Amino acid sequence: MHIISFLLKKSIAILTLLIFNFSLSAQEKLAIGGGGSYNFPLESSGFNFKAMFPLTQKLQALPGFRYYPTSNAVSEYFGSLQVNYLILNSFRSKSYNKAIFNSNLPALYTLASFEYNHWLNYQPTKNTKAKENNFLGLVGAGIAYGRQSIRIYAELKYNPLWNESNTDFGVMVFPGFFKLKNSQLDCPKIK
Amino acid sequence: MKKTQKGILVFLVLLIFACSQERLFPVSTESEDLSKVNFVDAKNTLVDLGPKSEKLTIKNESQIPIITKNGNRIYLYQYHLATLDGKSVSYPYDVEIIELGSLKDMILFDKPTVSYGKILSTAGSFYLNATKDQNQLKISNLSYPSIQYRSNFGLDRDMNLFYGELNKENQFNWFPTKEIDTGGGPIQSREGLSISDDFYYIFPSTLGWINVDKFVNVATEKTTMVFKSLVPDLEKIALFVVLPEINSVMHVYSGKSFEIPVGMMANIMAVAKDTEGQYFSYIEKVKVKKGLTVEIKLSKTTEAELINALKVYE
Repeated sequence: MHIISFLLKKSIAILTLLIFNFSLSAQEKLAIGGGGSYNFPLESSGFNFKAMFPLTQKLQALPGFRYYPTSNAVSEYFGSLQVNYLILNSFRSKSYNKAIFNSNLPALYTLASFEYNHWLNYQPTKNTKAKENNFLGLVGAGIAYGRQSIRIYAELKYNPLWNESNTDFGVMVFPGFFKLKNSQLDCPKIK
Repeated sequence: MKKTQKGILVFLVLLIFACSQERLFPVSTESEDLSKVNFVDAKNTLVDLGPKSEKLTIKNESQIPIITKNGNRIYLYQYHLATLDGKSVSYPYDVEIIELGSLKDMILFDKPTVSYGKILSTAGSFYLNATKDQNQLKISNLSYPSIQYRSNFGLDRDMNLFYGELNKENQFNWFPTKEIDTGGGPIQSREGLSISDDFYYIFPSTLGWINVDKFVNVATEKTTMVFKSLVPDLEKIALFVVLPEINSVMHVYSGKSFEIPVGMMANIMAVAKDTEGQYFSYIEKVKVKKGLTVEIKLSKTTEAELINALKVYE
């Protein structure tokens, strides 16, 4: 019981720190973006939108939405909460309200995504695990590259429950970087 | 490259190939007693499901080229046509066009890509016919019409021209234009077909079914597949083997396929219809191997579900 209590307290403390960090600074470090999606086995094409909040130097949280329209054999949408763990290149705060990547190297990351799926043209299929509404866990990896203000990304994700893989790709923009680029809000340099 | 990054790369490559298409294959939740169902003959199963034909009357030269629904251009002037007894034709005349630009269209129109039992890789097929006052016309011996054809399958410089016919067993067959080496050697002739950077240009010497195809010459061993169905009998089932890797589809007659390369992925598509218009289907993906027997187990489906399942072949 002591261990559980300890772990619970520890988890709450970490979560509080992450939320605190997010609420203080990450709102201004928010990135938003979108692009195309493709499900390899179903040959479905769609699009995705996502936002990105840095949680720590290595961790990013990305709420998102992915939609495969009715032009595909399977039409569906996904609401997701994705967590990226940067393994090459990290993210750091430059100032109170800016966050930049440490170098011009591509950022390589592994990811885990928790998703709600609604299959719009659902019908019973050979995949008996797939219902009209589903909760899914996906794992994968991605790469992002570009300037500090705008970056392209490409991700490959695997859904072990359905044995399906898909890719998301697109452009991520950091509005805070544009907005505050020439403003006086940054701390003055000390000469 | 670090070990972690290599590991991720291998994982990514693996997960592209480790994929399931099960969600494309509908199954019925009802258990049915098919022995009490009155099925129509297989040849009547897919009637009305295929692409609709375009019919138009050509009144003068300003209507040429005919631009089809799929954007292909047909240059069929009056001097390209003649009556069956060889007399010249003047405007107006009626033209009918059916375009089968995908494997889905070919399945639904029951126009498999097979020539004398050998599988073909297709770039698309279509039907072109002309009549005047409801009398059949033919292509004049003086000059051939031309068709600028854009294939959904891309351009392949090994393609040739084939014409379609029903053989004596009433099965659809594509026969190649003359002087084509069908034995895997170099192409000797491409009668009626030339290929540019963007289009195929077809110069048909006959009206009717026309196909841009090539024989599939692969070095691997070939085998046949056997099909069984307890209820209904196979003659009540429109049974197709789709080979998406090589853009090919065959209609299986009498429970035995034509020869297919061993190791190739094949999608089995079986459809039946009862006298009430209710559809039944069975879909399975298999890897072709020697001695493979597939048992067809039909279950109820709707026309919309059937069309939906075929979208992967568009």
